[in-house]
Order: sequence, then C-alpha cells, then structure tokens
Amino acid sequence: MLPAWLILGAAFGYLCLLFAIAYWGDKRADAGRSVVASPYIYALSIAVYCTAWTFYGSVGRAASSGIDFLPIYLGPTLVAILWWQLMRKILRISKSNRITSIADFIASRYGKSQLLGGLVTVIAVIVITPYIALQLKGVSASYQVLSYYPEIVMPSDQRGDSILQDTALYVAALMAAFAMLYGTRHIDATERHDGMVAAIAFESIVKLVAFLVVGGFVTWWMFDGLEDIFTQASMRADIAPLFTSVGSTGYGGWVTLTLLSMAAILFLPRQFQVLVVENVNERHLDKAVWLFPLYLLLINIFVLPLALAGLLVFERGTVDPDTFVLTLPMLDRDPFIALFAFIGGLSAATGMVIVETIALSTMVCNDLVMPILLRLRWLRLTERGDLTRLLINIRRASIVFILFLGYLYFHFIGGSYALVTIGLLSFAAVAQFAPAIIGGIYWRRGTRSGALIGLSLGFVIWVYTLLVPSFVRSGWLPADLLEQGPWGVELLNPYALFGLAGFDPLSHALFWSMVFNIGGYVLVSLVTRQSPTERVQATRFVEAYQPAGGSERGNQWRGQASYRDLYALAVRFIGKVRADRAFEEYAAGRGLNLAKLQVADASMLQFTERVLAGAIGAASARVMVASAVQGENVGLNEVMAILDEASQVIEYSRQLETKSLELEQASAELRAANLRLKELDRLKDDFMATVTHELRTPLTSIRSFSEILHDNPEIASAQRTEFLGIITKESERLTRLINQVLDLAKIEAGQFDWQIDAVEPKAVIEDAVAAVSQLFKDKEVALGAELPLSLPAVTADRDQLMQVVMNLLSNAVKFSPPKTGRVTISAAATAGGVEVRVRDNGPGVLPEHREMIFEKFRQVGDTLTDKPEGSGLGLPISKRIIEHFHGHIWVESTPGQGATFAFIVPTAPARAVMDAAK
Amino acid sequence: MRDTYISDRLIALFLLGVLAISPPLLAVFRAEAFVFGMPLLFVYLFGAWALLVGFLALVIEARRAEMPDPPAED
Repeated sequence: MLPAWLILGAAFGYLCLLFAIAYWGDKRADAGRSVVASPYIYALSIAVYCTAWTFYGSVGRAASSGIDFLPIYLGPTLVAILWWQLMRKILRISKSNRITSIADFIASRYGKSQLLGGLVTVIAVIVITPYIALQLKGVSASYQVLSYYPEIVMPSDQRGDSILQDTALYVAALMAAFAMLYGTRHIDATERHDGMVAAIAFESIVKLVAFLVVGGFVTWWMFDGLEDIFTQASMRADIAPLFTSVGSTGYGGWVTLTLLSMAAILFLPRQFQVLVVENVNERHLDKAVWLFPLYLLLINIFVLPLALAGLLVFERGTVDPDTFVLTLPMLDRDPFIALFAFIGGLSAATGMVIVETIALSTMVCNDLVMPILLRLRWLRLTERGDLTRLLINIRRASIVFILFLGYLYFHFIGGSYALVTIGLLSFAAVAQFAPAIIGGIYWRRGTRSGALIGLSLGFVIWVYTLLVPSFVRSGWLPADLLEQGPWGVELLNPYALFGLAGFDPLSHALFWSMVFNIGGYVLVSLVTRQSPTERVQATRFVEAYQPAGGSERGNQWRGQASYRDLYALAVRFIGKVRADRAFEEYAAGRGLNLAKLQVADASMLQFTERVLAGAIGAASARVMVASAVQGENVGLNEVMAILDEASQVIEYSRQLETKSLELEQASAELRAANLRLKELDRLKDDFMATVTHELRTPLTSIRSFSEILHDNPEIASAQRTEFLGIITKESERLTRLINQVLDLAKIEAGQFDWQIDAVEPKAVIEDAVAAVSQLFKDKEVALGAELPLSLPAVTADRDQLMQVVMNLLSNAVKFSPPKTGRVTISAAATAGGVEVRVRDNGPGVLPEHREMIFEKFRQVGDTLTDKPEGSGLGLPISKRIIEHFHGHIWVESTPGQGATFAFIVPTAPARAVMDAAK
Repeated sequence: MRDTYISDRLIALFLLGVLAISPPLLAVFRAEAFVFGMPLLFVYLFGAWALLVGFLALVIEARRAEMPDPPAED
C-alpha cells in the first residue's frame, strides 16, 4: 500500500528540497561564490531539454514505433558538436548586446524591432503554453497511476468534480511560487538566476538517476539483462518488428524529427534561457559539447528495453505504454522504485515548467508588455526614474498568467489529441525562428521586413498544416477538412497543401513552412533596405565571432584604450561638434565624468565603434577602434599618421612638384645671374685697370713736363710754351676722362640731369662736325658730310646728342689711317626716326666684337702692343644716351673695309616741334 | 590557431555523425540480426553515438589539457 500522504509528502518534500537548493544557490551567488559557475552544472542545466515527455513519452513512442524516439536526441547531439562555432557566436552576441531572451535576440538583430520581438513572444506563448500543460498532465497522470498502487489502473481523462482535488493545480501553484521567487529576484543586465540553475541541474541529476534506476531494476531484477529482454521480445511476432522499425513515418519522418530537434535544442525558449542567458562563462560550452550528448545517451539507453519489457509483461491494450516507467516497478510490487520513478517524472516536468515559465515571462514582460506600456503616454512611464519594481511585478504577473493558462489548457482539453501532440508541434513552431536567427548571424543582408514576413508566413503555414489538423482530430473542427480540404478545395488540404501528398504531416508541414519562411525571409530581405540601426546591428551580429581571434571572453572588445584616443578618433571622422555631443550623451547615460575619464572600457569601445560606423561604415569603424585598443599590432598614432599621409601626401606631392619646378627655374636664373656677375666682376677689374691706365698716362706726361720746367728754370721760352701747352692739353684730356666716368656713373645711377626737348638734328650734326674738325685736320683725315636739306626734329637732350655725334666722329678719326683716312657722316629721316651714320675706312670691327664695343672700357685689339686710342668710354656713354632717347645704336662692318656706326633717334611729336620753332 | 584546429575536427565529427544516422546507413543496419544478444540497429545506433561522444570528449579535453582554464574564470 502506498498511501496518498506518502506520495504527496514525497512530492512536496522533493519540491521543498528544490526551493532549498535554489535558496542556497542564490545565497552563494550573493556571497560571490557561485555554485553554477561550472561546466558540469552548465551541461546538466541544458538537460532541461529532457521533460516528462522524455521521461514517460519516449518509452511510449518506442513501444509503438521502435527506435524512432531517438532522432529527438540525435539531433541535439549533432547540434552540440556545432556549438563550438554556432553557440559561441550566439553567446558572444548575446553578452555584448545584453540579450535576455530569444525574442530579444531576434528583435535586436533586426534593428531592435519591437514588432518582431512582440511577434516572436506571441508565437512562443501560443506554442509553449500547451507544452507546459502537457507537463502538468504528466504529473497529474503519474500521480493518479501511483495512487492506485498496488493496483494498476489507467488514469481517466475525467477531471474530478472539484478543481481543488486536482494535484496538477497544486503543482502549478508551487511552480509559480518557485518561478516568482527564484526567477524574478532581481532585475539586472545579465538576467541570470543562479538558484534556479542550481535547482535545474539537481533536477537533471534526479531524473537521470531515476530513469537509470528504473531501467536497471527492470532489466536486471525483473529480467535477466538486456539479452533476456531482446530474446524474449524476438520470439513475439507482434514485438519483434520494433527491432528494425524506424517509425511509422519511415525515413522521411526520421530526417524531419532530426531537423526539428536540432532547431528545438537551440531555439526553444527554455533552451535559449539555460544555454545563453544563464551562461556564466563561454568556456563552459567546451565541456557541454560532449557532456550533454553523453547525458542524452545515458537517459535513452533503457528506453527501448523498458518499452519491450512493458509490452512483454502487460497484456496489450491494458496499460498505456506512456506509463511503463511507473507501472513496471509497480507490477513488481516495489513501492520505493515506483515512488522514485514518480519523483523522476516530477523532476523532469517541474524543471521544464520552471525554466520555460521564467523564459516566457521575461519575453512577455520585455517584448510585449513594456513596449505597450511605454507607448501609453498617459502612464508617463518614460518620466519615471526607477522601473525595476514595475518590471518585477509584470514578470510575476506573467508567470502566474502563463502557468494558469497552462493549467486551464490541461484542465479543459487535457485528453485531446491537440495537447498530446503539442510536443512535436512546438518543435516545428520554434523551428520557424531558425531562418531569422541563423540568417541573422551569418547573413548581413537579412532585413527586418524579411524576418517579419518569413516568420509570419512560416507560422501561418504551421498553424494551417499542424495546428488546424490537430483541432480537427480533437473534434473541434469538421473532419472533412482533412479529407476534402476547406470548401472542397483539394489544393488547400492541410495535410496535402498544393497537392503535396505522400508525406507524413510533420514532414509536410516542415517543408511548406520552411519554403515560405526561408523564401519570404530571403526574397523580402533582398528587395528591402536596412535602416541605419538595422545595418549597425546586422554588422554587430554577423561580425561578432572571429575564430582567428580565439577570444574566450563574452565581450567583443577585450583590450583597453584611452578615452582621449577614442575621442580623437571620433573627432577625426564625425567632427568635433558631433563627437562632443555623442560622448556627452554617452557619459550622461552612465554617470561618467568625461573630464576625469582616462581609460575607456569595452562598452565605450563599442559605442565609439557604433558612432564611427555611421560615418565610415561598420567594417572600417571596427578596424579603427581596434587600432585604438592597446595590445594591438598597430598603434593609434601610426594609424593617425597613415591617415594623415593618405590625405596629405597628394597635396605634399603637388606642392613639391611646384616647388621643384620653381627651384629649377630659380636655379637656372641664379646660374645665369652668377655668370653675368662673374662677367661683370671681370669687366670691373678691366675697367679699374683701364681707368687707372688712362688716368696715369696724362698724369705721367703732366708730371714729367712739370718736373722739366721746375728743374730747368733756364729753359727756352718757346720750349716752355710748348711744354705748358702739352700740360694743358693733357689736363684737359684728364678732365674729359673724369667727366666721362662721372657722366657714365650718373647715367647708370639714373641721376643725370636731362634736358629733353625737340631738337633739330641737322644743326646738332653741323655743330659737332665743326667742333671736331680740328681733330681731322690734325690727323689729315678727310671728313665728308652728306646731309639732306632738312631733317625732322627729334626728342633729345641737345648737348648729349651732340656729344654722341662727336664721340662717333672722334672714334672714327682715331681708327682711320692718317692721310688716306676718310670719314663720312650722313643723316636721313626714316620711319623709326632720324638715322645718323658715321662711316670710316679703318680696320673695321670683327662680328664677335660688335656687341662688346658698347661695353665700358672695351677697347678692341691688343692693348699691350697697340697704343690705346681712347678712354674706351665713348661708345658705352653714347649707347646709354641714345637708349635714354628711346633710340638705338649699332655698328655695321666688314673687317678690313671700315666700319659704320649708326644710331636712330625717334622724331619729336608735332607740337614739340612747333614749340622748338618759337 | 589551435581553435581552428579543434574547429576542423569538430566539423569532421559533425559530418561523420550526420552520415552515421543518415537513412542509407540505417537501411544497412536494419538487418534482422543480433549482436551480443541485442538487435543490430540498437547496437549500431548506441554504439555510434557512444563513439561520437567519446571522440568529442577526446578532441575537446585534449585541447583543454593543453590550454588549462585560467583559474580566475572557473
């Protein structure tokens, strides 16, 4: 006999133990010595995957269709191998984005879309609440079975008259209390619940040990080991086919179940809760990769033997295979093994209910209720400072609501087909999250609209191809819907949509829902654009995982950088004003003092990256921020320098080109100037030498004759007169030379006192000829003048013009041979003015000397052998005078046949001539 | 990188696992034969499963032995 008080007492005692463990776990966490910070606890908490459905249902499934309960556990085993890459990435994303639930994850990825988060939450609640009801049903049914001990009586679906007599209600209430106590103790960024995880890990141990104990008991106590069970079963024609059966749905169903369970282990809200939200350390994932599959292997080893044993010992149809785990020990009259089996089933059910409820309440609170409340302006929630109390209360209300809803499902439709099949149906429903999540973390292009459309279409197909048929089978909808389709449209038959027949319902639903889900997601993503927030989030999600980095930490940024560096970086890309504003907002949101801030933490790095991404694209932003993080290969200064170079090198190069061109020109000019200077220097030396020589010659003769006169007072009077004449003449020559030098200096310095006027050139020439005629007579050189009757007046200084003509004439007489010499002066009016020519029949001028002779002291010829014929200043002075009159002077000559010196002076304007005539 | 090395091996194990439970191989092991007094399919599936878990543990733990966890984090 197993009295009710003992069963209830054991159940209540077990639940109290859970409360105690959770309490202890939270206390330890508060003290900073968390018990859940262990890879073993982590792996055990993931085993919340195994529910009452596993505990009781697997055996039932194996009893009817053989080994096909296994894909539900093989799928998660395969996915666990991929956790190393996939879950690590999801973990890293979730920690850096402070993700609290699967709805949060999807919403965050697609631009923090509240609509998407709400949709995911609604789907999860619709799908998971019946699943919770199924657990309550498992507890209730197992209690009923056990309460008849030692009789084996199947529970009826008839509820008792009073709800208060229903054990499921009390279980639900206790679970609600547990979830409220340990699932909503505090609201913080991590959303971790140490006590709850400790309790769940404990439950995982209990259910595994309970199942193994029952399995071992049946196999080795009731039977003689596995061989015995299999041998006996092989002799029964109705049981033996189970050995080779892969289920009623064949290989198609096998593959479908594998795929569905692969999605379920990742995306069931409770799995996401324990895998991601409750994860303490990314490294714990390593051990879970093999520990969790090991757990699944162990809890499944006795499933088939138990099913076979049940079929062997019970008469077919009398005992529900789903209760074999409980009824086999009962058959052997072992109350404590039976009680232990009940507790194992209870632990499997409560573990699932607790985690699922907490996960759903977080989603309902954060992604459904709060967004709506914040939109209701009259509540003025946005103005209230502290919302944590409100958040906790919303979560507690959600927990009560979800569990009560689950209980209502159980109470009113507990025996329906719809509820019994909800386990696999919920797998198919959460598989709809897969495209948005997997696509979201590997495909940057996925958009919010794409995810919304894909998810909605997939869910609608799920409702139509799985939920509606289950309603039909429960008798709530007309049966001909499944036979002829709605309104007789065969193409819309929920079991053969668009004519796709021949598949089992689950494979059929999975195929169509995925076609529409993935198709909608990809196509709509390709034709829609991402908002800036979406783009930033997409990059954060897709690029969160870098296998080469080998990072073991949850944060994207591991290093530190100085705030100044980050600020400088931001200023560089978005300007001082925007950078100031951005950082001030950031600091204000966190109560930081920017003025005192030295080291920027990881979140500030992320913030900076986000700020930069808007300006320079996410990929570049990441690189730039990485450069500011200490310990990286490239220093910030170097990157700054590289940037400077990149932006300035073109400018520099252009400037350099210009400068080098200018320099080349300047250098050429300098070289020319230098040459000219050297030449001038040499000329100056020559000039000095010549002047000295020219001055000394007359001085010498003056001094000689003066000494003779001084030393010989008795010298003859005639001779004295002659000597004095020479002295006078030489003095005049000296004076003239000095005047010429002074004149030249004055002209060159621009200080000459010009008397510019209209001048009659003919008169000037005649005066000049008269002035120099004595020279010609002395040297017996003939002087001819060929002048026209009249010449136009020219603009000149009369005295200087006469000086030029005299210079040319005296120059000509100097170089003309005595006696045979002949000099002719001619003048003519030309287009450019009055041209005057002086021709001699001297030695002429060599072509290479024609320019030189107009330079100072350039006396052509060998000055050592030839007696110098003049001061050498006549022609240079003439040239400067004529040029001052805007005229031109030149020489024409054929060596040996004399030379012609000519100049041209512009004619004066008519008025000036009139003035001159007066 | 050692992590890449582990990654490659895990992906290989994943592919091996997919192959092991693929319908064609199941069809091969669905023969009505007994091994150690147990049905072939049962022995094959659990044997392959156990082997896979063993390899996983080997790959992961060999790596963990080389790179022990920092004490501060565990």
